[in-house]
Parts: sequence; C-alpha cells; structure tokens
Amino acid sequence: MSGLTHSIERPVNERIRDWKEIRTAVPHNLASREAERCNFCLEAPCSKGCPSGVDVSAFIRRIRTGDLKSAIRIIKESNPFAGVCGRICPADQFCIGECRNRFATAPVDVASLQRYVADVELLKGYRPPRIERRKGAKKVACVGGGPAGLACAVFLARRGHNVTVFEERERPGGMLTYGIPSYRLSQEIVDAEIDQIRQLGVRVVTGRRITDLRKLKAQGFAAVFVGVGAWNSKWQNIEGTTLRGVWDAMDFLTAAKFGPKRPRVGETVAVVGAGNTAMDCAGAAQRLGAGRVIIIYRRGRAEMPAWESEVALTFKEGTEFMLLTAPKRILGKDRVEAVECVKMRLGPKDESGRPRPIPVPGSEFVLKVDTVIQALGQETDRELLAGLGLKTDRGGLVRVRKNGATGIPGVFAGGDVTNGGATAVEAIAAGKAAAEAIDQYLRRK
Amino acid sequence: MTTAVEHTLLNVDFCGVKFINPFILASAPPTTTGEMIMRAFDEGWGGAIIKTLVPEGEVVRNVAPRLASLPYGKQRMAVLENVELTTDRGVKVWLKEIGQIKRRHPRRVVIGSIMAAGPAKKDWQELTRRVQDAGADMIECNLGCPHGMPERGMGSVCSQDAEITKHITQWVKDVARVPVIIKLTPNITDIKVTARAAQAGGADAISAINTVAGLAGVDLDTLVPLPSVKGLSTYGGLSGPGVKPIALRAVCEIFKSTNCLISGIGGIGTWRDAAEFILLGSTTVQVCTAVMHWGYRIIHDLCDGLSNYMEEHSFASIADMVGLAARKITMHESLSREYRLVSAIDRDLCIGCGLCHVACRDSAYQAIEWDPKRREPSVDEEACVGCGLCSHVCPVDGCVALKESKVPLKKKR
Ligand SMILES: Cc1cc2nc3c(=O)[nH]c(=O)nc-3n(C[C@H](O)[C@H](O)[C@H](O)COP(=O)(O)OP(=O)(O)OC[C@H]3O[C@@H](n4cnc5c(N)ncnc54)[C@H](O)[C@@H]3O)c2cc1C
Ligand SMILES: Cc1cc2nc3c(=O)[nH]c(=O)nc-3n(C[C@H](O)[C@H](O)[C@H](O)COP(=O)(O)O)c2cc1C
Ligand code: SF4
Repeated sequence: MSGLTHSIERPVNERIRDWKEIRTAVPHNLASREAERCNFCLEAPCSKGCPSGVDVSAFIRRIRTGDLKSAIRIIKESNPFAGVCGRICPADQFCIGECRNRFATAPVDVASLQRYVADVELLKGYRPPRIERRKGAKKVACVGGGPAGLACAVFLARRGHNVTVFEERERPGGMLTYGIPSYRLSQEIVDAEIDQIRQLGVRVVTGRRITDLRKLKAQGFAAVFVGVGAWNSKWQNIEGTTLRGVWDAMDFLTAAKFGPKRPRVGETVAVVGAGNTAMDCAGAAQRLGAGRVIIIYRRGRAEMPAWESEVALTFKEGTEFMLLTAPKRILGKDRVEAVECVKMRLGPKDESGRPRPIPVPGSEFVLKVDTVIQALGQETDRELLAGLGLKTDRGGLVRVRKNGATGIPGVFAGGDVTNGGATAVEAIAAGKAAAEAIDQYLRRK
Repeated sequence: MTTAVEHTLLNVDFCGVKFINPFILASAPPTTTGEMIMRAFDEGWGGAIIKTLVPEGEVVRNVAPRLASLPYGKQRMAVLENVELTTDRGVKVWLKEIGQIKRRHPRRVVIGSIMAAGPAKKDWQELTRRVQDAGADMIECNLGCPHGMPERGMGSVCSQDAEITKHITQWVKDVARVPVIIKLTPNITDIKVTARAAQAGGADAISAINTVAGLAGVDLDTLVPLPSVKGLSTYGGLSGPGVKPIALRAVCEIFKSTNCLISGIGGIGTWRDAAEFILLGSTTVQVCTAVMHWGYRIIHDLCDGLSNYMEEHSFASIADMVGLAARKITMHESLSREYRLVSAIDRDLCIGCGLCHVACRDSAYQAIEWDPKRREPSVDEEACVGCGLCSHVCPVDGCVALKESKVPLKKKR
C-alpha cells in the first residue's frame, strides 16, 4: 500500500480491540496534497489500469480544483462502488500500479483519494442523478446481489431497463457483506452504496434463491445475468473436522460479523490456508479475543496466494505464520483440543505451476489449539449451476465470452462464478460489460 | 465522461454575442492555427481569439527559445515568461481559416485579434474590415504586447498612452460591424486612464490583462538572462498563476471606472480563478498559460466546477455574478478600525515548528510566546495586532486563524 494509507492507519494495539475500520477518514489537507502530485498524464495509464475504467486523472483534477461534486460523479459514472473500492481494491495491481510517478518518486495513492471523495460526498448526502425508464422497457433479472449483479443492474438501469436483483441471502452485497470483515470495509459504506443503487430505480429482492431460469423467463424477464459467486468452501476431510470448534472460513466470517452469536474462539486459533480469506479469518480471530493466532500453510512464503498488503497487515497484527506445515488430524473429545501437523518440503512443480509440498516423514508434532478454521479457498456451486442450465469447465467455472454471454440466448454471467474468485472491481467490470451486451441483445430482439 | 461544457447556466451574452460558456482561448500559442482552434471547440471551448494578426508586409520572425518559466514548489510554470511575437502566418491564410472554423462550429465564437502601429489608421481599418468579412464574430485590438512589438511602435506602447488608445478604438469602431474589444497592458501606472480612453473611443468591451513586463531570471553559469537566445536575451511578458493578483486588480478597477464589459485574463487555470474574475467584473474569461500547461481538456473541469458553484450559490446566470465582489472594494480610509482580531492557534493541529513565533518576533509585534521545552507557541492577546502574518507562515492548513477579540490592545512599544 502506498502513500497516504500509512498516515491514516490506526495503531495496532488500538484497532485490534474493535471492529471499526483500520484506516481512519482521509483528512482534507492530505488528500489535496496527494492530488497535487497527479501529473494529469495523457491517456491516463491509471485509468487504463482500472478494470471498471474510472477516469482517474479527471477525478483527481476535480479534487485539486475543489470540485468534489464532479469528482464523485466521474467515479460513479464508471464504478457504483466508489467507497467500497477505495477501501478494498488491491490498487497496487491496478491504477496505482500504472501511475507514471512511480518512475519519478512514488505513485499517487489513487485508492485513498477515491475513498476520500466517496466519504466526503456521502456525508454531504450524495444522491445519484435520476434516470428515466425507457418506454416499453424490458424486464431484466440479475441473479445474485453481489458486486457483479448489482453493477450489472446499475448499468442496465442507466440504459433505461427495468431491473430486478434476486438475492438469496437476507442482505445484498455478496462477499462485501458476508465475507470481508468490517474492520477493512465498514458495512455502512456497503449499505449506503447499495441504497444509492436502489435510488436509481433498481429493485433488490432479498431472501429469494433462484434455481430455475425458465421460471424467470415465464415471469417475463427478457434477459438474465447470473452473478452467484463462488460460495462453496473447499474442505479438507481429515480426522476430527466434525469436532466443535472447527469452522468453515465463510461461516466463521459471517458469524463474526452478524452472529447470531459471535464465535467463541478460545485462547489459540489455527487458520489453515494462506489466501486473503485466511488473512481475514486471522484478523477476525484477533478481534474475537484470541491470545494467539497461527496461520498454517503447507507451502512457503513466496507461494502464499494472499496479496502482499494483506499479509503485511496480518503480520503486523501479531498473527504467526507456520509455513511448510500441514494439519494431519484434529484431536479432541468433543471440542477441538489440538491439531497434529506435519512438516513439509517443496518438491518439483505440480499442475498448478507451484512447487508441490511433500510431507517430511517423522516430523509430526502436536499443537494445542482451541479453534481450527479451514480457509482453503472457494468454489462454485456446481449443482446450482447445472440446475440453471449453465455449462461449467473442469474447475466448475461458468464459461463465457468476454461480454459475459453464456451461449444460451439472453443469459449472461460474470464475477466470481466465471473467474473463480478474484476482486470486487473485476466483478463490477464483468457486470458492467454484461450490461452493455444485454442492452445490445435486447435492442436486437 | 459527460461534462458541463454546454450547461445552460454557463450561456452568456457578451456584447450581443452568444457564448455557450464564458471560457475563451486567449490570443496566444493555443490559437496558433485554425486546426488547433477547431480541436479546442471540439473539446468544448466557448470562444477563441486567433493569434494576433499584423498588417501584410510586417515581417514576423520568432526566436528560440522563446519561453522561460519559474517553478514554485510543486507548481511548474507558476510564472511563464515569453518573448513570442504575433502570428508568423499570413493574413490570407488566417482569413481562410476563420471561415473554416465558423462553418464547422457556427455556435462557437471566433474573435479576430489585430495589431498595427499607433498612427497607422489605414492598417487598423483594413485589418478590421478583412477580419470581419472573413466571418469573425468580434474584433480584439491587441494594444498590450510588451516585447518586440513596442520597438516597432506596436503593442504595449499603444495602451500606455490614453490618446493613442482612444484614437485606435475610434478608427476601428468607425469601420467595425461587429463588437470591438480593446486589450490593455498592465504595464502602466493607472489602468483606469487607458480604460476610460477605450470607452471614450467607443469600445464595446475591454480585455485585461496582456502580459506583465518582466525578466524571468539569469543563468548563473553563463551569466545570460533567461530566455537565452544564443547568449543574448531581451525583456519579456509574464503570464500564469503568478500574475493573477495583478490581473484581478486591473479587472476590478476597469469595472469600477468604466461601463465597458470586461473579458478577464491573467493566471486563470481553474474554475475558482474564473469565478473570482467574474465576481470582480468580467463577463467572459480568457485562458492561455493553463492551456499551454495542461491542454484544451481543462475546459471540462472549468465548466463542471463553475456550474456546480453557480448551482450551490443559486446564481441563475453569469450576468448575475458579474461584479458582486467589486462592490466590496472601497477606500482604505473607509475600512473599519474597530474590528479587533487576534491570532488563535489550534493546539491539536500545531506541529511545534515555531515559524509563527519567529515571524511575529522578527516582523511583527512579539505577540507569540514560545515554550522551548514543550515546543509550544502561545498568543499574548494584549500584544497581538491581528496582522495575520503568523497564519500565512504556518505550514499546517487551518492551524492558525484570526478570531475576533474583546481583549484591548496594550501597546508594549
Ligand atoms: C473473505 C474475503 C475477502 C475478500 N477481500 C477482497 C478485497 O479486499 N478486495 C477485493 O477486491 N475483493 C475481495 N474479495 C473478493 C470479492 O469480494 C469478490 O470477488 C466479489 O464479491 C465477487 O462478486 P460477485 O458478485 O461475483 O459474487 P458474490 O460477492 O459472491 O455475490 C454473489 C451473490 O449471489 C448470491 N447467490 C448465490 N446463489 C444464488 C441464487 N441461486 N439465487 C440468488 N442469489 C444467489 C449470494 O448470496 C451472493 O450474495 C474477498 C472475498 C472474500 C471471500
Ligand atoms: C507565449 C505567449 C504568446 C502570446 N501571444 C499573444 C498574442 O499574440 N496576442 C495577444 O493579444 N496576447 C498574447 N499573449 C498574452 C495572452 O493572450 C494573455 O493575455 C496572457 O498570457 C495572460 O493570460 P494567462 O495568464 O492565462 O496566460 C501571449 C502569451 C504567451 C504566454
Ligand atoms: S513543445 Fe513541441 S515545438 Fe516546443 S520545443 Fe517541445 S517539441 Fe518542440
């Protein structure tokens, strides 16, 4: 993470005692100074680096000239989740990674500036501009109320279509709501930006699981976007996983956020896996009062799939990393009492292109723990997708063209369900691209 | 991206000519050719003043380099100096291009900038006729270029003399069928005198300012002043953010001393600058250096920002704003002597640099005490005269401000 983020990070000792955001609001003077550093480059490379296509240099110039109203308009034109992405985008891979200042001094902290604009305008009561529904507008359904489905709905509504989002869970937002912990992304921001989407005239129906696309057709929906994400946790079936105190990562994160009761984690927590979800589980466990949190990962530092920024954050908050270690079985009578692990070494590359971990015989040891969280990654719900009539590849991903077309006329898909779990902004970009394609499809019809 | 370049709030009538927005490209490098002006119009500019035309037969040969600039902190080109002459393209070429621009952009305003020698009535009138016949919507007489041209009896020497200013205005007005703008130099003791002369000559509008005479610096290795043209230099004209205060004063003085409409120029780069020029009396505004720095594309943020500002303040039109701040300029004598201010330092924001203490100690009234152990300044309200120096030197935004006070001033001195 670059630039401003350091100056707004709360001290670790304070922040791990609560669930409030790690980063405080971006102060005005820091934002305007950071904005001064933007060169207003030609064919701004930062904008090209943004999957959702935000016109970065244009909005930064508006900060610079004191016109935040235009700044938020410019961001929202391309990305309805301005405040969300300003917080959770791995921007080093996107806009910030492209900033030409990196060759002179340091890149402009675009993400913090976007967050600043979104927060200030939200406080001022930002409302999206009203849009007219087209006469004879066709009905379109977005299945799944995550960033992909909601973004698709926004861009369809802006083109005058009549859009309904169907979300199976109690709240919309997908992983933004149920996955990402509130200390990285406050729920108020997610809710506020979804409210703005509703204000555009998008209907968001929650508590409705869609299992049959033909029924939607029968109800008069002329096109469907499927953005159901990847919610099935990979599960390692070793001995002891049915003991109390063994959690699936998603269940754990959701319970930590919404209860009904927050998980009681005890003194020592082992998180198995080293992706972003594992890092979030570790951070949540810290905030639930664990005395010791350990990430257990079978490969080495270089192979950890989590982003550098997330690893750094987790490390800073005091989580230990037990690398080249794999759990063999979980021990306990009724509740978890310990986990037996084995040391690993790295062998030649496997089919994933990473070195294969190989157990070191006789290196077993027992670690006393009170909670084990399995965070081994997510996959799609193949059964659901088959029921919806969608073809999947070997990895269970829905196959689509660039614009989200599935091959079934009028059915489009995007987001985690097609890429297996990437980033919110890529899900938004997929929803946006599909909206364009759906619009064209409906005009042709 | 959609922007406000065509926002109806920004429509403005200037001497009977309709502009979609008040932003005009000043006669300068951004209007070097017709092709460039058409691109600027594609981007959204309301009007453009062609690079100044001189009578056929005047030889214009430019030098290189012709620019020098002063950076200030992170701001590059805080002041720009130029020694560029008028257009080096022929009159006929320009006349053809004016027609082309108007055909492609009938709703955008093309203004012909012309210049001739002080006594050359025939030249002034001929250029006026030819430019208006070519289709220009307005004429701007450049009486303000401070370098090169004065040696030929043209440019700023004209608007440094009230009589010459008046005559030229009359000559041009005698043959003009389109509105006439007189562009004045700021390089004069009292711009009100030449502004009134332009009005007396019948000017429809005044534009101000042309560049401020200056010298950007000296190359300390070669000992040649800047810009160095193969070892020699000459005085030039300054523009850009640094000249804005000079221009604002000129505009305000012209507004208060004539009835002419005003096109404000000098250091405009953001919508805020433009709003200030309008509030001090300008009906349209011209931009040169900021476009040289950032390109035509700044028209989008100029229009977005100005229209948002107007909405927030419920101004129904540009005309509603013109001169509102100028009314609040008065004689020094009329300013309140009862208004008592003292410095107030925000302890939470203070970083303990001590600059306010040093400034007050060495350049004011020793009213800020300094605790060296805690690195903490504190204001002695009885000694503070409220001059405000401390608030200007403080490096932290909003840390030192002035507040009203009932504590009487006790003169220590
Ligand atoms: C713990 C965690 C942390 C993350 N951190 C980041 C981060 O820092 N930055 C980042 O950019 N990305 C992050 N991501 C990834 C990001 O959240 C996802 O890529 C993004 O949410 C995908 O959006 P989506 O709309 O495709 O799917 P989802 O967000 O999963 O939304 C799909 C929605 O569809 C609903 N649904 C499923 N089936 C049905 C059905 N049959 N009928 C109706 N509704 C249905 C689901 O309930 C869900 O609400 C993180 C993910 C996780 C799990
Ligand atoms: C390089 C350069 C050339 C200029 N040439 C002309 C000119 O030919 N005619 C003219 O009227 N003004 C000319 N000007 C002055 C500008 O029109 C304008 O009055 C001045 O630059 C102040 O505005 P600014 O601060 O926006 O640049 C020139 C300015 C520059 C910088
Ligand atoms: S700006 Fe263009 S014309 Fe001027 S010196 Fe640079 S390259 Fe040459």
